[in-house]
Amino acid sequence: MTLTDYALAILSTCGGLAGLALLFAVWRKPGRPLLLGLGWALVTASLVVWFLVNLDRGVAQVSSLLMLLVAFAITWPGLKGVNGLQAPVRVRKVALARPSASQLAVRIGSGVWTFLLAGPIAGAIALYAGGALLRVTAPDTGNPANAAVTAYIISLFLWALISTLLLMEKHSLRRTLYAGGALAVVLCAALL
Amino acid sequence: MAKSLWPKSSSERVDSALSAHTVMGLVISALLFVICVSGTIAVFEDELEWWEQAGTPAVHEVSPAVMQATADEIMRRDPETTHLYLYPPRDNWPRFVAGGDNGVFVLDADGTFLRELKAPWNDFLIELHYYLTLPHQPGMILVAIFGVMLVSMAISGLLAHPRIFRDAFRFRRHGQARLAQADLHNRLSVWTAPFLVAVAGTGAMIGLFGVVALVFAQTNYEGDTKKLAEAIFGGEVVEPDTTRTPLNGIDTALISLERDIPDANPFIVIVHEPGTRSQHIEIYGDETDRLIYGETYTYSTDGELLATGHNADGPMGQQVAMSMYRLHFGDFGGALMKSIYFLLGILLCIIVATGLNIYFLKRREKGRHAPRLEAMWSGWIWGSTAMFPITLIASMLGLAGAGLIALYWLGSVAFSVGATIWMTAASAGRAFRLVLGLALLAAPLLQLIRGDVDGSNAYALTASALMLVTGAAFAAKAVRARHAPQGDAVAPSRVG
Repeated sequence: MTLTDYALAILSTCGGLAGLALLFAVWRKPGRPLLLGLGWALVTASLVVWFLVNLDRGVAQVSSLLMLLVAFAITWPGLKGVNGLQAPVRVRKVALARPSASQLAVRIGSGVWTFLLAGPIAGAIALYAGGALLRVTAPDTGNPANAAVTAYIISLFLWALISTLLLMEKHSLRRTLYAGGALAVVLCAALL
Repeated sequence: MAKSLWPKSSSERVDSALSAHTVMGLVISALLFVICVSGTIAVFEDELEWWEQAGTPAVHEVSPAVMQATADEIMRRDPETTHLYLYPPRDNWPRFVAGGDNGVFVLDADGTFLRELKAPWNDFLIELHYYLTLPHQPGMILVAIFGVMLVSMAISGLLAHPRIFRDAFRFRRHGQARLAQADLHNRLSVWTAPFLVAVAGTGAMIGLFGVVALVFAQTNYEGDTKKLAEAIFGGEVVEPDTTRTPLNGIDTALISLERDIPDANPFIVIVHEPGTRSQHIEIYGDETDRLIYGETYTYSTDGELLATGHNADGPMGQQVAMSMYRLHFGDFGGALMKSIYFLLGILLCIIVATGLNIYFLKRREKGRHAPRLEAMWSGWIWGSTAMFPITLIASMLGLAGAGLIALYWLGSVAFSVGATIWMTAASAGRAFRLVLGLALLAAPLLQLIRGDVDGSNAYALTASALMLVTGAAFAAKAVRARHAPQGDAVAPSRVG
């Protein structure tokens, strides 16, 4: 980076911070669309300038810096003042029914099965879905890197998403059926 | 209040998402916290490695002739090695190390072998963060799965909090402890979300490559697991030929690179199949405006450029894949960027810790107070953190390898169990923060007493100074908190 690049980068970082300050001001007192637009424009401009100055590394650098500054600015007083588990808290007295041994066993078994569904089985669904996608997108000739990396990234994101969705399903039988059905479909698509 | 851009969620969906978020958090938080803390510290793995041998000098430049002589000496010491690795100094890293398959050495600018590179605590840190100290293959897969689960937590967290962007600046410091903890957890999660997803996603991509290669081999590459790597990074440049021949050409390759690409900025030189007819030299050049690990230039021993990796200007997929490492470890802007990543890592650890704090505070409010579990969690958080400087001291006193691993896990469990049996969450937090502070103070003092410090080594001196300051801060805060009037850990009488 040249001296001019550094100057531009510092200026655009200040611009990005000013943009975030404007967004904060609009959040405090809403109904000011001009300031809202200006805030977003300044944040975007800082990313664009850093890209021009230092390409993708520049975007990562300014994003990290802005994230850190804002996160600290918002939470620093809280980090100093929040007592975590030491804080006094209202406690209700409730008579708790202890589960029987059989109820406990069912609960543990269900937990283990849920863990298997949301972990390895969701993973198998996602990875074979990625494989199926790659079968469709891989070029017959030419460089396969784009298709391979896209399928790879999508399969990992799918894994995270499927885990979440399976855990969100409250009925364990339905959860199992969804997972089993999805696994069967992706295995057929990927291997047949 | 401004309208939310986030789509409206039904309360049932929010409940389901929150339940998924809680279940996942309960299952993964303890080990995820260890992975996050070790990863936060591992941002400085190079600096800490040097700190462990702080008596070795800074090196600012190494000539091609010295590189060749160094390679010759490594071959003499390790004739069966299949690769030679030479790491010449660069702009923001003034160190020269080199080695083969069976050992790496620290050298000075003249190529004198000063000592074998030994950094047992750094090795332990890597074992913990990369593999959770398990055998490497399953360990790396397990850690990578934690990365996927962290992304999953981010998804369920977003679904569970439909107002999370609308409340992006909200922080209630007073009032109910749970709300303050929830605000801390949610605000940090929102504002560090790109970092969180980038670190977790890149970690998952790095660690699951073998598994994905296995699956894609079945679905696309007729069972050949090497094909995925070849599809992304390209194949071998030179066909293997094991006929013995003298090692040469490293100096010629470096001179040719200087002539061919003057701003290549080489930082790694790897000699493949050294001492055979197929030996060739792969040089990594630092692209200082890119996230890619480096551009690769492959030379023959007579200085002919055989291939360029095209990591910087090849297909986008290849560029993305080559950017995973630097994006994961924050190695894209020298010490300043690493420091920013370190602080963001600490925020991630706070997110994990406060997540379970919220769970315990909710339990209290619902009348299902679990003081033992709370103490156990507090003991785990602060105990497992305190074990990092404690193991560092132990390694300076001679413990290494499995001993350090055993000490870390047994110590962390002992802290947690001790807290469960004898302490409250609050007292465990105070006591173990004091232990953490004292251990952080002791490590650099021990190094000073041993006299293993080079005054010219700014990296090691800075690391020592930071340990002293952080240690003093933790110890002072813990001592102050001990003497301050305490609020009740629980106040059951307030509400009947």
